Amino acid sequence: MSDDIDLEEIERRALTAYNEDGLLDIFIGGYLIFSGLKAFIQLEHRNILLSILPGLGVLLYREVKKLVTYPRIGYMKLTKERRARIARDSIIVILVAAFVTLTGLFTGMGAPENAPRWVLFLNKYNLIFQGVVLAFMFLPLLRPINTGLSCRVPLLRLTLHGHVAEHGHSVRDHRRSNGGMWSLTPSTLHRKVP
Amino acid sequence: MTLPSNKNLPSLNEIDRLIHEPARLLIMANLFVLEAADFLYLMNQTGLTFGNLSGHMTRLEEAGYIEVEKSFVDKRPNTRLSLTDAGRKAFEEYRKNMRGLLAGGV
Repeated sequence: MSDDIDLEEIERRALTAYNEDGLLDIFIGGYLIFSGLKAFIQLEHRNILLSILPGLGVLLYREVKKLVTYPRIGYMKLTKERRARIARDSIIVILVAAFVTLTGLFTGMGAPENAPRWVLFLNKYNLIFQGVVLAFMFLPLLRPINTGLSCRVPLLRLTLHGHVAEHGHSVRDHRRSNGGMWSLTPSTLHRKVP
Repeated sequence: MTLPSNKNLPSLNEIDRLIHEPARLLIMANLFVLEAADFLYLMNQTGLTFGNLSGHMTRLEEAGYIEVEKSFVDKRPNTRLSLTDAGRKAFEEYRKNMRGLLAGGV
């Protein structure tokens, strides 16, 4: 065989195969259009309708996927490891979203004048605070990237080390095998079929 | 055909010729990264034709490398394929032998 078979690439294609139909874009676009037309819709409880639309949209999306995409792409089942990782990442995203929403509510609602100084400070800069929290909370989802720089920042090293350790490689092994560089995906090292 | 082997290199005889065939290698590689996949999915991913995939699927099933389950999904026939433990082990062995062979300076 002259062409390499990259198992990582095959797995990636398995994950993206179901999302190439553009249905998600259509649904999100539809929701945005409805939000924009909200001002022209004379419905008594249009705000309530707008709030429940995402939930209805998710259910409809799944049914449309079954009707349109799966018969054309076919069915596949990911490995337990991959499913567990997706579930873990989804939980992290949901927790982060909930945390940011709660902090946003807490810091953006306005504070009385006699509130502690730190509360007033958070209220004043609540958007910056939320942005910083969001950025740091999503760090565990980052995959190691080849920056060409050695990782000297302790927090980033801890995060990347934690992720690399999940794949069963130590940070030192990783550096040694890549001449001191962080590789793009550690699993590629042992998954490439010559 | 038995090929002469160099004691310093893994023998070419150790390469599983059933898996080594490009189409079957693609099928095995796709099933290796998944728990199961159906016939249509494999056709799309490997680019093989219906008849081609069917033939290779039969060979692999006869060798005990894959398990084939036929069922119905929404009243449509569905053929589901998955690697057996023997198939997974054979694929890992194949990868190890190929890596050793090519690393030996061929």
